[in-house]
Amino acid sequence: MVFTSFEFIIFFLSLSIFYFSISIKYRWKLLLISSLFFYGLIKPIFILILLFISITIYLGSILFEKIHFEKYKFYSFIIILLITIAPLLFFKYFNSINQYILTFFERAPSKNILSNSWLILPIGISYYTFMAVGYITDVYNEKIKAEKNLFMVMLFISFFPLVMSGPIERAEKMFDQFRNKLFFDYKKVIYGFQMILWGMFLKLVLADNLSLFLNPIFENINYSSGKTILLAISLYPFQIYGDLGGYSLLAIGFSSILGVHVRINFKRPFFSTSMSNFWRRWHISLISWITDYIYTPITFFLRKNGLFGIILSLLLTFLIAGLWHDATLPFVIWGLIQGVVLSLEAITKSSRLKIFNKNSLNNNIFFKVCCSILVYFIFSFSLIFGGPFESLNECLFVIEKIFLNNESFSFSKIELLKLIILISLVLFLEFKQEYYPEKLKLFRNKNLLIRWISYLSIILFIVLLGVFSNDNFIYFQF
Amino acid sequence: MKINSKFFKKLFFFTLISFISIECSIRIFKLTNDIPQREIDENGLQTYVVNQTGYFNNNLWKVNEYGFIGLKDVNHDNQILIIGDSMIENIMNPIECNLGYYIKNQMKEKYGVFEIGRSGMTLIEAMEFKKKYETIIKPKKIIVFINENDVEESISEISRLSDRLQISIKSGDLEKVKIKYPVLKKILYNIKTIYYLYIKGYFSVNFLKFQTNKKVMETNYEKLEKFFTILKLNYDLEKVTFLINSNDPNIELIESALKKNKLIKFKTLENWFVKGDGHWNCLGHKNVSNLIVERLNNIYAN
Repeated sequence: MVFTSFEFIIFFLSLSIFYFSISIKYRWKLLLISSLFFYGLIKPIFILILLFISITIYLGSILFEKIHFEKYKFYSFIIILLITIAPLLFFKYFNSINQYILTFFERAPSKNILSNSWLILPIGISYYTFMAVGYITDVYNEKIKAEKNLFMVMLFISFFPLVMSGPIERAEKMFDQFRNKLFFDYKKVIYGFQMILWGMFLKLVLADNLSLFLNPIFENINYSSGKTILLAISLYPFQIYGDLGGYSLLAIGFSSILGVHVRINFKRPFFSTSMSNFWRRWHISLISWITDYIYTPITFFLRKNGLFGIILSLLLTFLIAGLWHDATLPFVIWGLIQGVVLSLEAITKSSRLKIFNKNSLNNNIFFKVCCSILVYFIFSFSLIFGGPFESLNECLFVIEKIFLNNESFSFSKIELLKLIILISLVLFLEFKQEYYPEKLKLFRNKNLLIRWISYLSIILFIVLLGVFSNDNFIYFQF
Repeated sequence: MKINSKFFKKLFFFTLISFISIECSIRIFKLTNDIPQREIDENGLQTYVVNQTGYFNNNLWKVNEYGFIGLKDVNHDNQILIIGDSMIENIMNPIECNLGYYIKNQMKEKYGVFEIGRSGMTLIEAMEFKKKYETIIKPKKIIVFINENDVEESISEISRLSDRLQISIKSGDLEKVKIKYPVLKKILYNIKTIYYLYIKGYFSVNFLKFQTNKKVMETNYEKLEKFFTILKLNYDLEKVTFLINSNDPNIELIESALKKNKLIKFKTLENWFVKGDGHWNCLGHKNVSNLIVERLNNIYAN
């Protein structure tokens, strides 16, 4: 049951009516029941994983508060951490490791005791595991107190708008909201509707139309020309943006209607002026989680090594990020590309700043747009490894084809024109928000007529150009 | 509570405006197909309400005075009657792509063609239509198209479908027919927004899932055999030739039940179908009509 489906709209409408008609003190309990129901619809047995993780972190966090010896506390933290991430490691990497073992011993898959395809990755397991890890780490570091109500912890882990694909939220913020803020807030509801509208547009209109155009090219790279593949790779960031960005907005929107504020996950990433700036705008909740729970501890550990320590931390962090996507060589390379580019930026930071200041480039919009284009193409190129191609051979074949194959474009020009118009519309609106936020306000215009015309235009775009038969979200696989 | 009522009033008003805008846009840009309304006669035969017109895939359709949207030649010396389901009805293509058109063109207007095509027609209903129109049209030859599931759906003991004409092979009687959800259908076809979202796949609900293919055939072999015995007893098949896909799961049974020379078999290719639809396109119709013409020429040559 994905957020864009008819079934979900019915589910959410019924839930909202019931939710606001009961007393505020019971609302979080209703949220817990509906969240477990929602997740159980994917496969009822997956609820057990949610419960296992919830109980583990609940008991673990209470244990941390009871242990006063730092050494024992640390050991128990490591044990609880390993138990918490065990389901993720098992479900996510078992198939890959099994495959490597099969290849290493040159055994046919059928001869192995465990077939390499019997496991299905429970949707969202990465996201709620990350939230759980964040919670126990914060309790261990005494940033927050352990939650005494197991069911509240369960709700934090299973909260249905976030359970399948994030944004990855922090316990501190969520517990407080579940306890005290689940009331009908007109502003939050309107904000929620706005987010849902724009999210639907990004997903159903932008991402799904792009997927209709790009997927056949990616699935038939042998028959596509180099120029066609280059164009497809160049457009692919917009598909991911529409897909994950759209999904995140839907999650934010539905949460907001229920009274729960969730952080934004994307902030106009295609207007980033550097790669480090890009990673502060793209999949923000994941990157901030990685920064707090992976990058910062590594940097702290390597603090005596100065710039070299920072570079090593960056490389290691993005290597882990790549491995999180998939334990394959292309994703390792993708992580390394990000790490290397960020390291180069870190090394040249002070000299670049000097040049920018000297030539007054910091406020030059033309210069900023040029930087954004450069960042965009670096990111697109990295997606050859961190994108639709499964093996390293395929990625290398794609690069070879882009540079050596001179055949002309082979796709529907009308479809491409439609996509360019859609992308231009998104870019125009984000450009305006980025550089002229006070001009031509649409959703937040004080004039009701302009606001409603804006809503209506987006609705018409969704209904007339949306693709409704696609139930896939790219990031469900992670 | 004050905020709630203000909000709900606004929400209701905005939803109404949105709905009207979407409905207007769909109608202006003709984004949905028009579906003709049906009526049912005393024998349980379903035809379309006469004199309706509309567009399907931007092709104009008109319901004739007999309640069908195909060719309606009558009083021709060499009359051919073609009966079948949506493949014969061919609402998704221009009428110039109907089997009858191609046959007439190829036979240089030597024949008049009357087409009885309606989506969801079972084989038993096709035979009932044959019985009824044989006396009116007086055809020299009758072509009956058997689509996949048309045989199974004719037998109420396999699966009772109250909106289709079926026969009980136990009693040999025809079952009563009623049009399913007539009001709901009327609403659905008239509120274009809902219909548009439905055809775009937004409501991923399959209203009619019939258990198909070999599995049905294997478990119901005796029933299917008995059905063909009843068919041969109750209907005069002298002038009838059956048109059937050679990959039909029932092909062996049909071949053994009916005489082989009573069958025109065809094999479809991928490019015979309308994009995103299981129906033949103009090329498909043309190729099938070639086979019919070939058979007609053979019959008349002998």
